[in-house]
Amino acid sequence: MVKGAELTAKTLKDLGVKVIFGIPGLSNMTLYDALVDYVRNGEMKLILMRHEQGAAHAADGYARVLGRPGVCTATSGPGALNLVTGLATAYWDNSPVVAITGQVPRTSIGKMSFQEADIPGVVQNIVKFVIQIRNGSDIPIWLRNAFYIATEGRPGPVVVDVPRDIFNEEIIDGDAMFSGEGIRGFKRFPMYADSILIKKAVEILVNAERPLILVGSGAVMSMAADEITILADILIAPIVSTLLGKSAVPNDYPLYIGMMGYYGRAEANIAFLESDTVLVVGARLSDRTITSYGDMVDSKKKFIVVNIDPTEIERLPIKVDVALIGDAKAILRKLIDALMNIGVKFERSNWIRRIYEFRDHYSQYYYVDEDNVGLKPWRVLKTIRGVLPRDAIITTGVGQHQMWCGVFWEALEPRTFITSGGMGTMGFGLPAAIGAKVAQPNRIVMDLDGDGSFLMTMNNLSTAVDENIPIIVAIFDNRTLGLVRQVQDLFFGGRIISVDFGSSIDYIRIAEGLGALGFDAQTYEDLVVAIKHSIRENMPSVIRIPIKKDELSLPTLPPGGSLREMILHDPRKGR
Amino acid sequence: MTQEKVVRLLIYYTDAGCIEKVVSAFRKLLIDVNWIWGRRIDSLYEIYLGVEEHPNLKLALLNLCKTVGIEYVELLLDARIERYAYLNGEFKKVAESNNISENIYRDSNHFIIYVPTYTRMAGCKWGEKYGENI
Repeated sequence: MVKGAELTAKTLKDLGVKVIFGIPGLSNMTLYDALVDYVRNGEMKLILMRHEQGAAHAADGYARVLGRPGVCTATSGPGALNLVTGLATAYWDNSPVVAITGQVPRTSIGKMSFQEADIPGVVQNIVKFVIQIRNGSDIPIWLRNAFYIATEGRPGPVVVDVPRDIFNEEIIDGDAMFSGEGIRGFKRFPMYADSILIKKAVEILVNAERPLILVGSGAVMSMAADEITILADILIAPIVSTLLGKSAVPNDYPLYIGMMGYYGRAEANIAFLESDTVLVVGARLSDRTITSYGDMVDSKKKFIVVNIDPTEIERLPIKVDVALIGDAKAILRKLIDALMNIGVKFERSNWIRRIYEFRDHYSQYYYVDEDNVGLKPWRVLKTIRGVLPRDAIITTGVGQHQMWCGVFWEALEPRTFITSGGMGTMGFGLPAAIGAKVAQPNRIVMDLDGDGSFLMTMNNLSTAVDENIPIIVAIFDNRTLGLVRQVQDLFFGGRIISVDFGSSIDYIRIAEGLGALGFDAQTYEDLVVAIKHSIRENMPSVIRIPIKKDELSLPTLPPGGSLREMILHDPRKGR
Repeated sequence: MTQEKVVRLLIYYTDAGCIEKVVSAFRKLLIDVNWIWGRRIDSLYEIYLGVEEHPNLKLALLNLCKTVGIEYVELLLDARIERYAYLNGEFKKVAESNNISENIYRDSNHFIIYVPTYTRMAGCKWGEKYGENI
């Protein structure tokens, strides 16, 4: 006989769970109690977050860095409801998070009981799968199913909702056999990349005059950096990425041009527009990457699309010339082998030269430093890059600073650029950094955050202090919700409203008040000193970086605009 | 007038939320559901839905076919719906454009079932297509 909570704890341990991010409460405290011995003997760690949204983001950050599930837990009602934004964030970005939510006892469900919320009903449409446990003996099988579903195919969050009377229930038969293949109504996606399809793809690539490789988050998850760069070398094809695909290849690789899309680099967007063939690897071509499908359809370019999820290809509103279904790394290896076999040497120097000319041309718009108000985002990021080692992990919030990171940050190793792409969740950066640092304690983890984003989840800095998780938070402090302000300024006739914060917030004292180090970087030299000091002290740190309030994220597009309508320089200067 | 499409699917039962899961796949994409008919066979639900033709219908079916719990989704391409009313202990066909039948159809006291007849079908099961194209 074993209690449901003990069975849950044992199953989690058997599944290899080392850390759980969460907050205990009435409906999950029996689970916490069952974990005490595992924590005391060092087999597991419980990280007490300051808000459940932070727990979900931390589990998400952990999962994205390691490529295996991050686990979070919350009590019933408000606790579980607070997970919702974090779960949706993980779902939109294909992150394998497993959430274990406590629920009111079975006899109380549906009766507006204290701290009751219909969590299966709430999360059903924002997670990959949710199950409410009905019998204690089902706990092991559904936890194992949850981990399998979260990681198999296209990853995503799974919620296991456990009524607390089940945690207390004595269970006799609690060790059900598990076979991932046996989950009813859940199957592996098929792999469609036979020799005929590969040959067809190779023919298109061989005959292309201006080929381009576009990489997304699927390429990151597949850890296909070597295959992508080898393929680019063989084909002599430039590489562009989505925001989430930034760390799919080292950004200092000569053929990597940059992030494309709504706030993407101009040369990357131009390379996409001018290409005649695009090999899309693990990207779903969202409305942030391809802002107008006319840009693809009008050009008559050919598309070879590699994706693990066949339905992603079906839903594209473009003609896909070859669809290759399966894991990116495996499929790219097949393409490389096929290209090596035919042994063609490509002469595409004109195409590459043209791309480099674009890059040189657009540099004049990016790297300007004409006034002395605040620090320049591009130079801040260059300075930080110069101090951090190649394998440092970056997380971001959402807003202008995120777009500056998309354009100017150089991600040099896989899984080192962690950001909320699909959901665009402000407040993601700090708790995700905590998860990333727990996952990779020997690497430097830095949250490049905006002041608006930081303010949304900064309470979790206290967790980093208490748990000795030495993350560094750099706040791009422009005292405003910059991206909204920018849109109001440029596209709403300058009618700026409800975005500015005022000058009273003291981020240094907030950091110090929560037990972290605080630095005010008034110069680039200050910034270097602050980072080195933070690394040396090995303590959670906050570095405030003053940014001009009306600094813009450029390039950008007008609302609903096409990539052809990029705005490259400050249009207000012509007013 | 918008044309109705008939969808058939099998979903494994975990709890009654599996019906919500199916219906929300259409709701999320702004597709109206005219009628739903289903039955539970042990741990499996067989569900038929009459949905309005909509530009998002293909997307809804693709999403459903990779939803955990769903065995497969089929679009019955040339489905014609026959309505049967339960009258005096037996099912009787409700004829179209017949006032008596229409009254029965609109009378909430009668149990009506929808029986699709079809010859062409497009199916999808975790990204594997069979039959015709959706």
